[in-house]
Amino acid sequence: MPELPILMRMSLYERIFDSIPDAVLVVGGNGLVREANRQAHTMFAYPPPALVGLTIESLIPARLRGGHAGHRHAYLESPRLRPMGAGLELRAERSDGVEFPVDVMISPMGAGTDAVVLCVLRDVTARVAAEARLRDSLQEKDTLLREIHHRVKNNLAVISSLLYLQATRTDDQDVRNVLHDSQRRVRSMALVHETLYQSESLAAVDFDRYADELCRQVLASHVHPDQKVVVESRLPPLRMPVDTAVPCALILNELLTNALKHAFPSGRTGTITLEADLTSCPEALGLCVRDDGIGSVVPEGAPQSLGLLLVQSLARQLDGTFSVETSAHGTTACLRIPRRHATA
Amino acid sequence: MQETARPPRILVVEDEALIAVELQERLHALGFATLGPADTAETAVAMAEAERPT
Repeated sequence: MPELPILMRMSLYERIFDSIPDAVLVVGGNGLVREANRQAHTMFAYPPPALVGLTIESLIPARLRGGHAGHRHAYLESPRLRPMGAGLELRAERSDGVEFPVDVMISPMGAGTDAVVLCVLRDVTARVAAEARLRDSLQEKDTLLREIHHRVKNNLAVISSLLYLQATRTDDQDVRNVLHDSQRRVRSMALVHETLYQSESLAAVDFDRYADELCRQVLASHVHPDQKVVVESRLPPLRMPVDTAVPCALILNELLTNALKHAFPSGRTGTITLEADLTSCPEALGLCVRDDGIGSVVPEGAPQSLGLLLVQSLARQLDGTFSVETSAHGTTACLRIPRRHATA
Repeated sequence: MQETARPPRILVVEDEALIAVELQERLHALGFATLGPADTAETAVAMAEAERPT
């Protein structure tokens, strides 16, 4: 009795076909549904076997139907197993007009005039909604983080204003100088946070953009009518996490300020440039402030300035080193930090 | 600016009060008169239209 096992197998496959938890449609070359399992009827809200005989296009929202028959013919020209509309969000339409997002896998069956296409569809409403929630929550986190950096920058700017207002209320030039130095230091930190919340990614500071602005800021805070000094940054694109950027910012502020204060006395003209040194040592990133001023020598046994103390302490915090070379043609001060602190 | 004219007036728009004070004092030190500070965009536009700073 060879027929019985075949009949049993047939009924087994039919049961499997009807029990597959995804919707399965068998579509002929003419675009008509030949077979549809139970889940397909449930998903599209048709009473079985009402899907059979419908065109596949009738399961697509009307506004998206155009061109589908063309895609279908193109697929039959070179049929292979593949997800449909890779990268696109596909939409389907139920009998009651409700739209829902679907993932579709299609596979050719048979050849020639008998060729049909097997379509497996899954309703991805829940996944699409979860993805949207995730996107919203990321967007919200990004917005909050930007607001916090904005707040930090504003608080630092207020501290800077307090120092300025205090400075203008004393006649003692030494006190004023000290307060102005402090104000510049606080502003160099505020600028890091400002650069960060204005940049595309909050993970790292665009340090080259920061350096351009710092050069402008340092120069503007040293307005001497007789001083014609250019301060410019020539850093390549450089990104740093904020906990590296802040110490680097404070150090560069000291070096640029120092050069402006001491390299060009009595109206001397010149240029101060901030450059990256990527060649001296493969493991280190060098940030060098070079001026073509008079050069300076710290007298033997002179007390350590606060600026130098800050630079050396912060360089240590970054596992870096600090060096100065000076001659009659100018001074170059270099901070070298491990390259891992920055990315291009 | 005519010799008899008042110093140019600048409208200060800033919502942090102390930063606004610094801006005003800096502008005064540079010889400008100031309006404001306005701490919202709406106030700033209203003041600009009412006072027409030079």
